[in-house]
Amino acid sequence: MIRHAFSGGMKGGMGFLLVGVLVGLGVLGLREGLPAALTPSPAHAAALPREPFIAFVGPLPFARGLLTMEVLRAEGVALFSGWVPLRLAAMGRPLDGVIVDGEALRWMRPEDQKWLQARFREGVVIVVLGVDQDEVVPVLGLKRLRDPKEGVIPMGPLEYTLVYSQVLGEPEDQARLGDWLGRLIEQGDSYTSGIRRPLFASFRKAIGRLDSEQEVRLLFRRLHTTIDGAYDLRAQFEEARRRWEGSPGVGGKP
Amino acid sequence: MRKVVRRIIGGVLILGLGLVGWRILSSRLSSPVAWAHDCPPPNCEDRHNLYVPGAGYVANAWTYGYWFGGVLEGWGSSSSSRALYYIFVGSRIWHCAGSCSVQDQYLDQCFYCTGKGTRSVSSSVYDAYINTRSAYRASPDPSGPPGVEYYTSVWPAGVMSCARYWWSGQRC
Repeated sequence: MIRHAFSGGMKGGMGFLLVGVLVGLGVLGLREGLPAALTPSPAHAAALPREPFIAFVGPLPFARGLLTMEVLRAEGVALFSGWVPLRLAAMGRPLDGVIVDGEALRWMRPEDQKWLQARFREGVVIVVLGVDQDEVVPVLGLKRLRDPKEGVIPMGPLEYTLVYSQVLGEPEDQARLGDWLGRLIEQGDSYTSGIRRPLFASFRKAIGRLDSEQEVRLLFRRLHTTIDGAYDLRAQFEEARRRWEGSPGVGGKP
Repeated sequence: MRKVVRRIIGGVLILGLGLVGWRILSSRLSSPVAWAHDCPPPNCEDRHNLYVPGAGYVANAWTYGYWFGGVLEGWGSSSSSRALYYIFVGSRIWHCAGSCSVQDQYLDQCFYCTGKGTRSVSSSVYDAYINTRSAYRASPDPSGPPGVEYYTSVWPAGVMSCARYWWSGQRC
């Protein structure tokens, strides 16, 4: 009898605990957003796909300057009106580029931001429309984007910032490199001593306008060349690593 | 008779054109180095056999670029005839109107490699030039020979080949 009552109480307690955990996760989810770890992205293929996966997130219907939904569709860009649908779509196919309208930054939950930062670290090209580049800095978890010698010319609603970075190397060498991107932007170089094996790193930042057809064409030209560069960097790194491991003393070792 | 002469002349002409085409094609295919360094002024500044302390005259640096339809597009490269500890290549386009801002930049670096080229940078601002900073360091030893850097630019070739433009956007 006592044992029965005890086991019944135990079961009830476990039930309450489970409900409590679920309620807690629900509250956390509502406040922070869908956890970034729940929407991982698959690894990129070795070769550039025929049609890279470029997504747009922002209000739909959409128009900013001469960049419209029709232009985005014509360029093969997948349109999303929210972060969660975009994150779910990116679980099935690795993203190559994301065009983020400034409006979508306002809807961003902390977990969406974590997710975007993870994609940025993987070499996904990020384009943010209609805000100053200083507003992009915290979104990508950076310290700054403007070069120290650059004047602060505020960017308007018809301008964009394109950013890309990627580092490929052994984990211990990446740890030695530390905040290479911070130093690269701050100092123009991020030379580091003590790297033991081949390591490749790349960064691009471009700004432009959306008020002429030529400028919109330039945006997509920049986007595609950067995506191409991201795949090329992965291939170059793999080749350097193979050479290094295949023929020690001959390959890349100086 | 005239017909025969015309045919002979036509045949000789076709044969001649074929031979010229074959020579051009075979020279391109048999000398990839010449192809890679095809650097026509004023679209390209190409510097060879640059000195790297601890490695000798091993480095090359270039910037290639052209104006097309109101857009300046180009890229830079840093390479070495032997693997070096560190190679940097960074191409930049500035725009100055009162103060200066970077319109586009592509910065690449590699460790234990023979070279790296940027992807294209581009801009439609009227005062655009592409300047490439090429930096090299031979040894991983921090107390070893120092690093060295060189600058190349377009358009036209060499017009902004200085540290001042790369670092601040100010003319040389």
